[in-house]
Amino acid sequence: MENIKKKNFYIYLGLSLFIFLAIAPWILTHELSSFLLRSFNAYLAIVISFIAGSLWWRDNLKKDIHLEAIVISMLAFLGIMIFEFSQGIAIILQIVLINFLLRFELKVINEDENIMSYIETRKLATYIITILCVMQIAYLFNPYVN
Amino acid sequence: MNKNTITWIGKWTFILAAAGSAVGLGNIWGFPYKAGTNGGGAFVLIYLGCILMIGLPIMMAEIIIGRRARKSPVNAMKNGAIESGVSPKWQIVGWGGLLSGILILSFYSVLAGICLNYIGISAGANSAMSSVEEFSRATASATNLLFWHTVFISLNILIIAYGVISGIERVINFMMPILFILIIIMVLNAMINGDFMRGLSFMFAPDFSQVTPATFLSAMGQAFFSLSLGMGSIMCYGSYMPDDENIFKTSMTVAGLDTLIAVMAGLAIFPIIFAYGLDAASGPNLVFVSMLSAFSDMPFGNLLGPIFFILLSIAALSSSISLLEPSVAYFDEEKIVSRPVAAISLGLIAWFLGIGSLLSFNLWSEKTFIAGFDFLGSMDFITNQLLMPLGGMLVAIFAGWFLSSKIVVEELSTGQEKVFNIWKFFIKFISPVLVAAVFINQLIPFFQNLLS
Repeated sequence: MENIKKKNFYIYLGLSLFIFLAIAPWILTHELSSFLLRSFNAYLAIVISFIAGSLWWRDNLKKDIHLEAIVISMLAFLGIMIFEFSQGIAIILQIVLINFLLRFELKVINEDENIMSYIETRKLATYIITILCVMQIAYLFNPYVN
Repeated sequence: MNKNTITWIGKWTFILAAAGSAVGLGNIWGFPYKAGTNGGGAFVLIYLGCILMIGLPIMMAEIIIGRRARKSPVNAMKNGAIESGVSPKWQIVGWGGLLSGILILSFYSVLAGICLNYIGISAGANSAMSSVEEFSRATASATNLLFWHTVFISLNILIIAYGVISGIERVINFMMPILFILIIIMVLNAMINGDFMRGLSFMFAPDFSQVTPATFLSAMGQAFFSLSLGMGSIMCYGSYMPDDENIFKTSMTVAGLDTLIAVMAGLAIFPIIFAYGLDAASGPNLVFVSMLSAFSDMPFGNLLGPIFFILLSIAALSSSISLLEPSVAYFDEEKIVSRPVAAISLGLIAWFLGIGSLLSFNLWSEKTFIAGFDFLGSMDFITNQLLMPLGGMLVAIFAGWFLSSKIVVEELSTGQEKVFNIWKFFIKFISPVLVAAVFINQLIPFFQNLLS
């Protein structure tokens, strides 16, 4: 239980950086904003591959998922490269990946009463990150920020 | 007169119901404008301070009195007074709340009816349309207003008649998440289509040079009125709150949600207003004229417009059911009539009074009733400027000076001595004085008018 609490704490801690990176571009100067958008995308890619990677050594998995985890991690890092060509497509890719990862994780982990609160926090964090990603897309398309 | 045994089933229901009651048309079209024109971030800071000093202590007092008695506001006040060894005549505060609720519902329903009407109007909006003319057209016909007023009152009657769990709880648990989703959609729309930076700066950039004593009074008024205090709604909802819920934490969450939604409403509205070069205003003009004008020019405006007006209608409905519920609960617990009959009869009284308010837009627009106001203005004057602040002040005086400390300590969860001491100080010395200041400030123009 203590372990789950610690996990939830780290999720919220990680989430606070996402919130900062998503809100700051709207407040700060445009030059700094493009750096923050890039940081948001890179940070999201790192988080996605970390979660996908951490599924490797989970002992409560229903099946072996090494290949899927590698593919998700690689796609997340591909998002960083795509960002240089099309920021919008890169963020949309990250939205798809983070939500797919959530569904995937929920599908492969064994349901256990002890991790219910972790699952709830994980779901909430994913939904918030999705909204933050849409905020980033909004920033890219907003005609008044450039 | 038995104690009510009904309690909310869901863990979040009280919070959602109280937040639904607090989040209404007033703070969606009032708070952002007040913040923007009174020093932005400076106003928001003062407002948050006022929430802590006025809103939170009175909200906690209402919940404590309601949950202790598990009865409607009239009997809850009576019960609190008897248990504290003071005159049961304090129940008059509960009666005042019941009266306020019905009177507010009567004109609130007319305004909410216009929101319902605007769902269709905004769906057919186009750039050739004049939003001022559209508003005049919608309000010029008494029959049209009467139709939408009837629809809105009927929804209220239906929900209340079904009961606390099958009616109110079920609807609140369905409507409030939708309200959150819709407001997020509207903020995202403002981020894409609106001048979001200017909206942010309008609402949040602190300008302390604009802070005057009037700013404090405006913030105090906003903090008091936005939380639906002084009219028995929170006391009534508190009577359904489970015993194991922490009153302090719950009240904080409700106040936080109320402020969050008001801020989000501002972020959904003002960037659009600025982007389309419209006038930043408050009240019905802001949403029915300025916003409609923006939606008629906006990409996907015919979809976003209805979403916005559905959002307003949901906010209005979640507030209005809390206006009718206290009196229906009283009739039901006193076994005067059954709940459905009480809901229908009291709803009909509000519907009938509402006819006067809807005529204020057209046939009675020149007629004045109280203090030079038209019928709708008079109703607003009686409730918002007299009954509600008076009710809030009396609840604060009762809870601070007469309510037994034993009751409060028992109702607050164990280990909350510090919370009790701070609450006691504010409810005894600070909240009644501040509400009185709001009350007097609101009456000054009335007396000036009378003397001139």
